[in-house]
Amino acid sequence: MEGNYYHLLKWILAAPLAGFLLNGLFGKKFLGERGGGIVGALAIFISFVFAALSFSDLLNLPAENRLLRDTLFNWISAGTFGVDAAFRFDPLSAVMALIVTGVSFLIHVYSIGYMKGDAGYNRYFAYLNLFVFFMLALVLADNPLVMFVGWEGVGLCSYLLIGFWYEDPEKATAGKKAFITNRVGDAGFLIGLMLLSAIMASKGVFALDFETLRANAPLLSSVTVLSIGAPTLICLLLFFGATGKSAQFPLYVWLPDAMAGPTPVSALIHAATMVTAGVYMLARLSFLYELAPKALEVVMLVGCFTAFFAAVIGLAQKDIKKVLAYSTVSQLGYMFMAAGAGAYAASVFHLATHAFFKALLFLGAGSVIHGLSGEQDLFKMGGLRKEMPITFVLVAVGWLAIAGVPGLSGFYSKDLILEKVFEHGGKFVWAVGVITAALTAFYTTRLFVLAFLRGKRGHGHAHESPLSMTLPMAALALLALAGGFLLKDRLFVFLDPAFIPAAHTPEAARLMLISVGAGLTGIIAAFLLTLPAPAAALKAALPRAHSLVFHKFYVDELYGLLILKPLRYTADKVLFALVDAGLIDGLLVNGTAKVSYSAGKALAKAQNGRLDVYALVFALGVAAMLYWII
Amino acid sequence: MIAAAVYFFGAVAALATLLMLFQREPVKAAMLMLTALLATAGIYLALSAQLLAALQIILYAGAIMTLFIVALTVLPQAWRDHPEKKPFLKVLGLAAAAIILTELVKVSAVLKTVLRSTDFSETGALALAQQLFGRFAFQFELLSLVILASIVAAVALAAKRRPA
Amino acid sequence: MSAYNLASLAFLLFALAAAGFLTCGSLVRMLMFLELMLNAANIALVALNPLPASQAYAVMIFAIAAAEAGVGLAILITLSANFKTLQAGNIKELKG
Repeated sequence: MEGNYYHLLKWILAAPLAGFLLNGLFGKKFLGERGGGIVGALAIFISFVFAALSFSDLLNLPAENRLLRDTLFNWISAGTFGVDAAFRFDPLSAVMALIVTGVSFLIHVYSIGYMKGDAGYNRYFAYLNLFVFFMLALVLADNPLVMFVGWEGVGLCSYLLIGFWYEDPEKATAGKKAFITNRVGDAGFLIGLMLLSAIMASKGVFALDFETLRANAPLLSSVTVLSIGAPTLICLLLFFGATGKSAQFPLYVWLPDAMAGPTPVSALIHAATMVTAGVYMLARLSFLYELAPKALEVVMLVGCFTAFFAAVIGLAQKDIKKVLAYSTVSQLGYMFMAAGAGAYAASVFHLATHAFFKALLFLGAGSVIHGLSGEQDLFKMGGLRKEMPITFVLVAVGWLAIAGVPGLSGFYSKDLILEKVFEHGGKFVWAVGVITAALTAFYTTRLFVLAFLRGKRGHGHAHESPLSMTLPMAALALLALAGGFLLKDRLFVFLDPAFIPAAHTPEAARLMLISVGAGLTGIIAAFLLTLPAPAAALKAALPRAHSLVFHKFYVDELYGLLILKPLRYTADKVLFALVDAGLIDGLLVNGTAKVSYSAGKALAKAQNGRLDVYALVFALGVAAMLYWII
Repeated sequence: MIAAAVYFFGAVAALATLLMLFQREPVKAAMLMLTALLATAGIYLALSAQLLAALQIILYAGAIMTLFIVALTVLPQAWRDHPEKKPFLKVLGLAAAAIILTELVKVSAVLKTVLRSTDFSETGALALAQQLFGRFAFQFELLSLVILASIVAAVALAAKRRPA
Repeated sequence: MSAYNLASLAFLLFALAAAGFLTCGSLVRMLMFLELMLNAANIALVALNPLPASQAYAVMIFAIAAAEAGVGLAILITLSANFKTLQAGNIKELKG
């Protein structure tokens, strides 16, 4: 095997784990606030350094076999089935690891300032480090099972961090919702994984690391399960897990609620890293998805629908973080659209640029919230341009990037996706993508205008954020500005050595003009429609539509009615009352006791102290004995 | 003839016992018991156990019956059942007796082949005495001890405690 | 007349006396039926085998029956003195 036992991989993982243990076990007493923050950020910085070193080592290898592996220990060994705790570092993992550790480090630094004074300071950094550990386990995994460990682990940390201020029942419920919705998706993921390993085992392939799977994937094509081709079924099930983790329809409902957590958490987990796990999984298992074109179509359509749907909902939201949450769902839809069209590199590219500008936007929102001492309603902000100038400039960069203004990172990645979708996916999907781009520009501009421009609207004095918060934002802004054209071709060559940068065709140029035009339309429309008069007129003209969109199309209520209510009914009335209390408690446990008691009481009647009854029993015994003997 | 005598006396005894079951008054019940015991003596006679018949009359009908009459005189209310026994238990008792009867009769079916003579034979008092004082002399003497023990026990139990 | 008939007679008497013994509630009554049971056993002993030995045994059982009746009645008198009742149902000291 190429490049076995590369030694740095485990240190990339060990540093955040050590940070978790230090902050978790000793944080409150020995480290305190200052120490806790420094330990947390330092752990991630060390991890980033190791990732960068591994990256440079990877570059030194020839382009065709860029693979570094490390096996820590034999995890499962059950007869023919065996799984190692093994990690790999190939171009895809390198990109993900660098993004994860880099953006995490910046957000850790930001959190030092943002979470100052919070009672659970050390707990926060412990959880954040644990999250980075699990995310790295996910992206560095060499087989789907270790990846699943990371998959579950990030779900757990997401729950812990969303419900970080657990004394508030609403926030705790949001954490629960995230975890449970993820779990539903994970069920599909696990079934897909089981199917994969079962079919592979039936074909004689017992090792499950990605190299072996890639080499033996064509074996799956001949198998059908429930009259669906095995690759299609497995890919659909795995994608169902991805809809849970990456907040696509129908399992996206947890992401807007997840905004109950601290804003740096939203920036890290729900913009840059955890939600991208689904996209990574698709890219990693691309060899499998290539065998199932129907599944890829489903992926693309789901991504397309989600992108449009979420963008529409984001148009009418009041809370600044909710707008960004729906924006994340929408942008993730773009990534899945690209993956569905077969352009995995494009989806990873958008993943990277999205990490930059979305994290920047979230951090900016956090800065605004911090400056306004907790205000999150857009309609109570305004005019922050003068009071928080640094945040204003940095958020403006993020705004322009996501709107697809030419030259910035978002433009390159989104444009590339739309081009690929047009080539492979057909005009309808491409048209929806273009409309969604317009909507994206619209709601982001709306957010920007309402928060920073126009006049003050009912809030007190806002103070600019400290350097610990603005420096990371500045770093992300630089990446959002320059990341696009720096990474553009280099990323594709790195990910796929056989890639040849395509020359720009006039067709592509025309598509680019259309998408840029859509973006600019969105921006201008937002500037106009957020003026008080047109906004009021629009609202008066379409009150029902506005209410529908504002209430997120009542999807949560629908789920509650269709799924939660019957489940709760079954759990309470059937399973609890009937089975648990009635059958098990009443019949089996208490019933057995009652039977013993009654039997005992009945037998005790024979011992009532009366001689005649004793004689009677004696005679009965004699009669019985005679009866049996004779 | 002998058979008829045996059956006759047996029937008398059975009838007397049966009537005793339903008898309410103590004196009548005692009379019925006496009848049963005397009928038994008749059976012994018919079976050529003349000494036994005599002993039956002396011991059972004489001594034991007298004891019971004394007891009933001292405690006349003792014959009645207060409170009445529950019918369920009575039925159980009857059932137990019935089962025992049927089983014993079943097991004695093997004796159908053993015939008994229906002739009156000589009194076998000599042979009986030879058995009693010869072969079973030890047991006979022990019996006197048993009776002594019972006398002592009866006196000890029933005598009034005299203040010492 | 076979031994079977004699045996059945004896057993019948025994069963009747047992029925009376088991269905009565008064202790004196029980004792009386007890004597009748013993009497029936005696008949069986004598009827089933004409040997003198069996008659000797019957004599011994006479003696034992007498002794037992005496002791039984003594116990009854003591019981009636202590418990003031001679119903088996009322004497429940051994309960439990």
